[in-house]
Amino acid sequence: MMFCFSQYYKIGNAQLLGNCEQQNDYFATEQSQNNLFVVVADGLTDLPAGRFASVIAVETLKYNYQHIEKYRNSLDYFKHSFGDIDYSIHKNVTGNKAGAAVICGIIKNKKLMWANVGSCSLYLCRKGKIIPIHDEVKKRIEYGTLECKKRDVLLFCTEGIEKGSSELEFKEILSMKKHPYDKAVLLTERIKNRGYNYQKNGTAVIIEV
Amino acid sequence: MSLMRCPEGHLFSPRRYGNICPYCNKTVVLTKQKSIADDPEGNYDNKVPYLGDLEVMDPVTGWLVCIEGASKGRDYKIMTEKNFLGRSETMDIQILGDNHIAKKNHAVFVYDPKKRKTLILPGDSQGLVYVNEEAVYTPQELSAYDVIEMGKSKFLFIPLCGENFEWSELDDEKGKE
Repeated sequence: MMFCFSQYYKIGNAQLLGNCEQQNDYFATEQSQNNLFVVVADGLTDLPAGRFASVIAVETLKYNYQHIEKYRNSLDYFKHSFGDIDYSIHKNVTGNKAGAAVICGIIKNKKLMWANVGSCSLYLCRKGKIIPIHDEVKKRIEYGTLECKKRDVLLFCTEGIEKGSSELEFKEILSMKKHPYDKAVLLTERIKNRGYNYQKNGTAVIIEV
Repeated sequence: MSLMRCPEGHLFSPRRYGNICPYCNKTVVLTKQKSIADDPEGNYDNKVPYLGDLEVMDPVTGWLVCIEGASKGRDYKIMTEKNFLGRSETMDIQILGDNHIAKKNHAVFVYDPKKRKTLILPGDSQGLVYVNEEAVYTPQELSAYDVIEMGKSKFLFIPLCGENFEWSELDDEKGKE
């Protein structure tokens, strides 16, 4: 059986401020032909340092991805990048503690290579089923690979999205026949309308294979 | 399709945000060939339209243009009737980058289509609003080029609708034709 694997990925993104003073999440995507890079970061404090940390995390991963030929493999890329991020944050942020939870994915020739540090999440919606790809025990750093199939839908999100919603809702929204941008906006709108007092910043990036 | 992608890969609606990315504040430069910077790899399946295209937008009645502060140079649309201003994404006029502006209801801008006037009302937040250096405590009519100060930012009010123009006049003329 031949897979007619699409060359292209559909992307959608949306953010949620929640009950925080400022948006400390950040994200980026980059794609070219069969390859896709996604990173979502959650700054760990409500202070401005949190935003600084998430931007550093995203920009470092993105810069290193643009020079990925330097690394032996994706695992090497992730490990070096996390080291660079750690160094940059500690070098540039003094006084207040700062850090970021990050989830990063590279899709290359149908294969997703991902890495997760901290409280971000990765879900796969395949044939109407929702499957958490990240380890729910939330180890400090985790790496993994996943063979993607056509019509797979991936959700990269921060804790604000995960805690404000449920797997049932992810399944409902990710299975919809809508553009991933509309799905991401719908997800954040629903969470926002709940009006939880504890609602944190949230970022959702949805990829359709 | 009318979604735009900024240099950082953030997707956003230009109908809502113009050509400035709401996630990173970078400007997307529009070219003649592509008035909307669709994804160059052609990702958007025409069978699954972006539903934002179907939204009905109220016509603009005026603008606030930031002349001082974090969002200097940026314009904000004022629609008919009430426009609530604050930093929150639930606000009709969302001002980002100035934490001295309240999250919700720092001020309210009202365009009255019957009297064809734009008024400013103080919001129910802690912050004050100044028009031409005078604090606003009661509804006050705005004139063109009034300087409105909120938080650490200043804005100019630029009216479209008023004595010289009103959208309903155009509709009336079309009806007569």
